[in-house]
Order: sequence, then C-alpha cells, then structure tokens
Amino acid sequence: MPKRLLTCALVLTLLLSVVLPSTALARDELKNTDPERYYIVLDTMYQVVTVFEKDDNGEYTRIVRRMVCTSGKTEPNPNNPIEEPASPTPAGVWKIGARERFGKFANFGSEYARYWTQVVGGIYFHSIMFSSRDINKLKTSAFSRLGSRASHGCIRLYVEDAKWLYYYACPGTTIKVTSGEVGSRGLAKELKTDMSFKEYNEFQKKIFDDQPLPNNTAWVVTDDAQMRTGNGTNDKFIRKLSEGTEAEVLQEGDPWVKVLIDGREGYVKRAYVTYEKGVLQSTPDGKVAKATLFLYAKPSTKSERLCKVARDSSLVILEEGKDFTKINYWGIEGYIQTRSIGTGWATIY
Amino acid sequence: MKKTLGLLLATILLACAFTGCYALPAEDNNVQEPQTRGMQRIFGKDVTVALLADSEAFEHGVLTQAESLGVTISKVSSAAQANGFDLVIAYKPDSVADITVPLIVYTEGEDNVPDNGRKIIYNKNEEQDAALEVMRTFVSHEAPVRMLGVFAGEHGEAQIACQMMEDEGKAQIKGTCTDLNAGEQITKLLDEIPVGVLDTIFTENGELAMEAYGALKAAERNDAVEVITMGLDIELVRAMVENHFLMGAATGANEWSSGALALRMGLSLLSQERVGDYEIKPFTVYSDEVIAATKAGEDDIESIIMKLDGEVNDVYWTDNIRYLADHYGK
Repeated sequence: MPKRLLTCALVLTLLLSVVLPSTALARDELKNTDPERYYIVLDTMYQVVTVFEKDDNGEYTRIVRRMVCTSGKTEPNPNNPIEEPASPTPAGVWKIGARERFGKFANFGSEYARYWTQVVGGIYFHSIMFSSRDINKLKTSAFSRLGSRASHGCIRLYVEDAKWLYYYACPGTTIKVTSGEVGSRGLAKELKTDMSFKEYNEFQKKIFDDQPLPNNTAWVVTDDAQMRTGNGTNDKFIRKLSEGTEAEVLQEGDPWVKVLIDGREGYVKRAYVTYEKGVLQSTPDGKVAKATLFLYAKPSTKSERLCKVARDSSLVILEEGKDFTKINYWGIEGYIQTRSIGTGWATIY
Repeated sequence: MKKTLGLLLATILLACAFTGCYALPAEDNNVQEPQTRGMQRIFGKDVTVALLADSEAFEHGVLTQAESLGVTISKVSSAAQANGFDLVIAYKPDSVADITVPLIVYTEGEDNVPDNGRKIIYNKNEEQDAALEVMRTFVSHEAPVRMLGVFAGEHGEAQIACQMMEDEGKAQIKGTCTDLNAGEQITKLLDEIPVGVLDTIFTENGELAMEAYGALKAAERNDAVEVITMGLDIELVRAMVENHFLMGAATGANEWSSGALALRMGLSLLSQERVGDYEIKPFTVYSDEVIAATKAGEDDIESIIMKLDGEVNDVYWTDNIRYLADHYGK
C-alpha cells in the first residue's frame, strides 16, 4: 500500500512539474520562463504599472520597467450609466495567463491591440488600440488617454511596454492590482512619451518580433462545447460546437482558449478542446473553481491570501478536506474553500 | 569430433594456465622506461621562452599557463634580445622581422609575421557589433532597448551604429553624451530620466564605462539600469564584483586567455605539431557569471576571467601539453 502511494505521489509530482507550468499556456517564444523572476504591480490610482525584480536579498525592490497605462473606468458615464457602467480593473493578486500577439476584441466590433497578456478572465495588458489587425492603423484616442482610467477593465499600454510584458511576464507571474501603493502624483505624466501621435505612430511601426508565430490547432472533444465572445460563461453565446471541430488557437489560455473557427473569433473552454488530435486532455468529471476564489496559505480564511484563483480554473487537488482543500495553482500550494469546488469539464494536469 | 577437439583445446588451455606456460612477449632487458620527464621528455631539454609584452593581462595569461606547465618565462624588452631563446611570445610588437626563432604574435592588425611565426589575431572591428548585440539581448532588454549612449567622440562609428539600431526599431535612444565630462553629463541625464524608463547605458570603452558606473552608483536609483560596454579590462570586472547590478557586461579581447593560448600554441609549434594562426573573437564577461564564480569560492578576478572563456581555453591542448600540465600541475 505505501508503495502504491509513493508511486502515485511520484506520478503526481512529475505531472505537476512537467505539465502544469507550460503545456497549456506558454509558447516557446517566451524570453523568460521563470514566473518568480518578476513581480508586477498595477497602481490604478496613479495609472502606473511597475515591474520589479529581486535584489540580492531576494526582495522585489529593483524596478525593471515602469509604464504609464489606462486601466478600467471606476465611474459610470453619467450621461449613459446603463450602456457605459463603471468597469474597474479587478483588484487582487493574480497569476498571468494567456498571450496573443495581435488580437481582436471578440466582443467589441472592429477593435484590435498588439501584445495581449492575460491578467484574469477578460482582463488583459495590451497595447493601445488599432482599428484593424494592421500596425498602420493605430488609434489616436487611446494614445492620448494614456494615464487616465478609461478602459473596460483591460490595461492599455504603449506598444513597446505591452510587448515587454508579452515576452517577459510568463504564465504564472504574479500581478498585483492595487491602488495608491507604488505610484505617485504626476508620475504617469512623467512616464508619457514626448512624441506626438504622428511621431509615435511611426515609432511603433518599427516594433518587430524576431520570428513569425504560427498558431496552434485544437480539436473540440465534446458536443457540449460552446463558443462565446469572451472568456466567461456570462459572455455572449456565439455558437455550439460539435466534437471533432477544428479550431485555430489564438490564445492558449486556461480555463478559456481563444479560437478562430470558420472565420469567427471567440472563446471556448480549454477543457472542451485538445491540442493533440485523438488524445483527451480533459475529463468531464474533473474539479473546477465554481467562482473566483482566494488561495489561502493555511486552511483558514484568516490566513494570508496568496493570490486569486480564476473562476472555472481546473484544479489540481492535493488534499481534500471538509472545509478546505489543498491545491496547486501555478506551482503555489495553498487552500481554497471546499464548498467552492465544482465538478465538470476540467483540464487534466 | 568437434566435441573432442573442444575438450582437447580446453585441457591445453587449463594446463597452460596452471603451469604458467602461456604466451608472453620476450622480455627485453635493453628497453627501459625513459628517465627524462617533463620538458626534457618532450623537447629533449628545458625550453627557454622569451616574453615581449606590455600588457599586464596578456602577461598574466602567459605566466599563469607557464606555471601550470612547468615552463620558465623570461621577460625581454626588445626583439633584439629575443633570438637567444627557443620560443618568443610577443604582444602587439612593433616589428618581429628580425626574430628567427619560433614565434607567437598577438596582434589586432594585419601585422606580417615571418614563416617561423604564428598569429593570434583579434579583430577589433567586430567588438562594436558584439557589444551592441549583448546590449540588445541582455536579460530583460526587449527591442527597442531604452538606452543612453556614451561615446568617445561625436559621430563616431559606435554612435552611428546605435542610431541605425534606433532606425531599425531595435533601440530607443533616451540621450547621448561624448567623452568630455561624460560622468557629469550622465548624472544630469539620469536626473532627468524617470526611474523605470531606461534599460541600459552603453559605453564605447572601458574608461567611459567606469564613468557611467560611478554616475549610476552616485544616483542611487533602484531601477535595473546597468552599464554595457565595449572593452574588457580588470577594473570593469572588479566593478561587477562590487555591484553586479550596475556593471552588466563588458565585451572585448580576452587578453588573459590569449596569453595562455599563446604559450600553448608556442609549445605545440616547438614540438613540430601543425599550428595555424588563431583568430580570437570578442569575448563578453557578464556580471552574473562573475558573481556565480565568486559565490563558488573563486576570488582572483583574473582567474575568473580566464575560466569563463571556455572556448579559447580548450584550444591547443595537445597530448604533449596535457602531459606537461599533468606532470607539473598542482
């Protein structure tokens, strides 16, 4: 019996170390694969993103990069509060997820951005917007609004800053969304470029990638699969998918994958697809987070909150308990409340 | 029949084994192990080597290698003094035309070396491209690299190369300054540039790098700006040990390893091996590698630089040289 346990533990350890951090999310073009190398703080009060790295004492004190940004609106439009409600960037400690080089906003008509890096759900770092998937089509308005809270929750950046995060903030990197913690008054203005829009537009056209990035292919594994406009079950339904449907993968995320099917871009749950044809990489009776949860350091809601676990995340259960269950989330071991764990389609890790 | 033959053969072999009657080469009492060892064994005598060099780094490389190979080096100050030796090693000599003994010359130019000599060539023209590539690919630097350029003069080659990088979208020049009062100019620029919007200070030579290093140290910024420089000297590596965050990388000729290589090449030449000219490439010392070496217990900076250059260290380790190293090695 102990031998069997030992074998199970060994297999689990191997799976966690080999599969968890990379298979589903990371592309081999990442320039940093260490999720602990950087620590990112978004200060929504001052509209500044700061990237820290460790000093000789292992503390995140050294500033690698500072960027002016546009985060989510904290107030509704007073003239049209129903259509344009407040859409703040969700506060908390998150783990960086999926990436896309030049993405389309699946739920916003003709709007595009370069270098997407997922914070959580439909919240991304990305460049200021373009009117089509074309570097010559940079939009003026987003450029001039950098430094103010104006987005639907995403964090807009200069193209070069979005590119930096895209390459160096690898999946699993910690991002803290906070207010008034690391910025200062006037800093955002100081970080803004002196270039005019025209000059900046020419400048950003020169920002290049070393190599082309062919998209991966995925195949739908169940007739239950649905395609939506965003990565959440509340987002608009686009169409039902049938088993075997082939999709071009635009963002290798989890719990949601951004796909292109029959010319339409949208999101489908990661557990509903496989990247290896004929091989099931998920299970219909896996464990998933029923809501966005805190990951606690100890089995108590009074213990340190390590980060947030995104809703619908497939869970790697280490130890089941009555009130708290120990899980591994992006290499961090911690506890979530057992009552928030559901059963459903989940990626096998 | 086969079985009988097999048995017979086995019996004979067993008998031989028990009686000691098995084949042995005839003992030849006239052949003896050579009595000579070390240099004597390989060259028939102790070789004499003259060193004509005014580079401390190169000399250090020669002497360090000589010690490990049991070779005695005599320093000479002119080519005229060198001909009485078995081998001459010369660092950027004015002229070696009169030297008639086997000769190894370290050169950065197109110097002519007589048939009795071989060259170690460092093409300094490649240093600039190599250093700029280090700047572009240094940890966390993404194109465009946000840089300050510190140059030896106005509109020199390095400045033009940086400008080209900006035109290609590889760099974003946040400011430039030239040789005159570089330190003060860098300090002023650092005051103006907010923390977090600069990746690096690129300098055209070691002296400017030390100026930039001093300015960064005085500025006490907590951002990850480091100096990337052309040129490699011991002061730069000392600065890396002092603060590896501020002095990032230095690219130039590894004269320490070149000195060691020169002696190995010379001894190989003396022992009638085929030895050709050797071109050394610009070598980059990265501060994190230096720190790793110091953490591993190495405290001699020159030894650290030599050990980091694995490629040149492996050249001309012929059987003879290995034998000498084994024989004299401590």
